[in-house]
Amino acid sequence: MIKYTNIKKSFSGRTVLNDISFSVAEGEIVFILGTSGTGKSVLLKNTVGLMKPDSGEILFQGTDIVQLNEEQLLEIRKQCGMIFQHPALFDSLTVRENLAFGLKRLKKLNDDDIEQLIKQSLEDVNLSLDILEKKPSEISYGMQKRVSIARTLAIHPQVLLFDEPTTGLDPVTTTAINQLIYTLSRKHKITSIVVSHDMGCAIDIADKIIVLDKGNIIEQGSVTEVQKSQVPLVKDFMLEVSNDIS
Amino acid sequence: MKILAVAGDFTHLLVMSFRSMFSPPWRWKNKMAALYFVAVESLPVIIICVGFAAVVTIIEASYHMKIVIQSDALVPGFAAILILRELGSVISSLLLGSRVGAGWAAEVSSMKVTEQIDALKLLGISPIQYLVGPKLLACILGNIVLGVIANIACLFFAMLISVFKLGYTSGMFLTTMRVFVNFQDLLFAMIKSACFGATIPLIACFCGFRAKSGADGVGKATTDAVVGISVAIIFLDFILSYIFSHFYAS
Ligand SMILES: Nc1ncnc2c1ncn2[C@@H]1O[C@H](COP(=O)(O)OP(=O)(O)OP(=O)(O)O)[C@@H](O)[C@H]1O
Ligand SMILES: [Mg+2]
Repeated sequence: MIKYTNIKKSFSGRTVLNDISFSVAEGEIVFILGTSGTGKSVLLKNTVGLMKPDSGEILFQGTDIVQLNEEQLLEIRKQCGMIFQHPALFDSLTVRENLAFGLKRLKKLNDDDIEQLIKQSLEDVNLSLDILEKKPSEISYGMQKRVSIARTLAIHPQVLLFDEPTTGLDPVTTTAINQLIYTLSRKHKITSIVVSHDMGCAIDIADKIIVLDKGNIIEQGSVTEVQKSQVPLVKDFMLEVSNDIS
Repeated sequence: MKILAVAGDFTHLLVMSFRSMFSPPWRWKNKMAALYFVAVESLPVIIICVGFAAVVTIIEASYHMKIVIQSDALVPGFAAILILRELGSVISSLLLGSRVGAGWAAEVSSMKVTEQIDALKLLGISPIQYLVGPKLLACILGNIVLGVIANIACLFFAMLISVFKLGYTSGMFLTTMRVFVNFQDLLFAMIKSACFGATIPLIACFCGFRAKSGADGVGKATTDAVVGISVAIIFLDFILSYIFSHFYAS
């Protein structure tokens, strides 16, 4: 479904992504882990053309998105939902308007259907309806983050890109969101790429785990393969999980 | 090389913003909100400031003319020309630039650093169309209206100070003024206001879109925008004054 080949990206001479290659199959859940500043967000943004790699190829269902202009990217972006690292809610709009914004724009739906989708997507992320008329600045960071997930889920994209969806959320909501990602993948064949620091979640729901360090892939494979890895940083990540359990 | 790239980006923003003013979706709500922010909310501070500028101009001009030619009879005329050709539109635009420009640069740059701009793009909405278009229209129209009001306020305050400080009657002030200024001056003042008005959202949003991440990114974008707008207005004023000078009857 998505295939990255030799992706390189640097900012003012500093290499952030160095020769990244991997592929994501339809319906798969791929977790990307790595320490802060290794270029995980940059990689996700390259996937939907918000940034362009310096070299390399990103095939999205056979189309190389690196070559596309803004207009051609629209078609790709309609199939992708991205949950940003920041909540990225529009400050000037209420929660309801934020949720309806993309729906009105991307789907030709009547008001009742939109209302229905808004309610459903808020329920999916454990939020009550009484925040609908509030502005983003009037709700907590964790709530903003959940609204931002709801905003993307409401559009029902084919591919979901999550940039640290559960960072800063409570354990109950974290579990609910991971469960949601799992259900979407298994029931609706939705492809998910999840950037995360949480190896525990990755072990629970990922089909494939990719570990980045300083712009390089230092380990990739299925959960069992990664669990057996001898790479020091990957072992450190694993250690975190076993410490959490004990 | 880098300067060329920046100039290219700015030209792209300029062209796309003007195009977006004349193409749907119209987003009247956003345009009205921007117009209110520009014209209505800026009016009090602009009137107060141009009023004081007019008063100072009259007092200073009278003082110097009395020294040089022992009469300040021509002060109302000179002041009126200066107000219509320079003070009214330049001062009001500089004030608008620092008030509105700073606000918009902060708004756009914080949208940039919190990934709201990326979110817009992902929804298939052009950030230029959504953010710059309405501001551009509002600022051009708003600044023309503000410019006219500022000029009238300026002349009014000039007349008041002439009556109370220099001892002219309002009739004398208006008669002398009419000898020196005509409708063409008002027209040129409106053209200036429109051009200055356009620079404000263009530079503010340009700096906002280029903001680097973090709170200092927002701070720097805002400062750059206000400085850029002020310099651009003064530079444009020079260019426009030079062009218009060919039309003035000698
Ligand atoms: N637009 C940009 N301009 C310049 N440098 C950038 C830009 N975006 C990212 N970078 C740099 O690229 C590097 C990787 O950034 P990125 O945001 O992808 O890290 P990350 O892996 O997502 O880290 P975190 O876990 O903290 O979110 C950082 O050093 C960052 O400073
Ligand atoms: Mg990141």
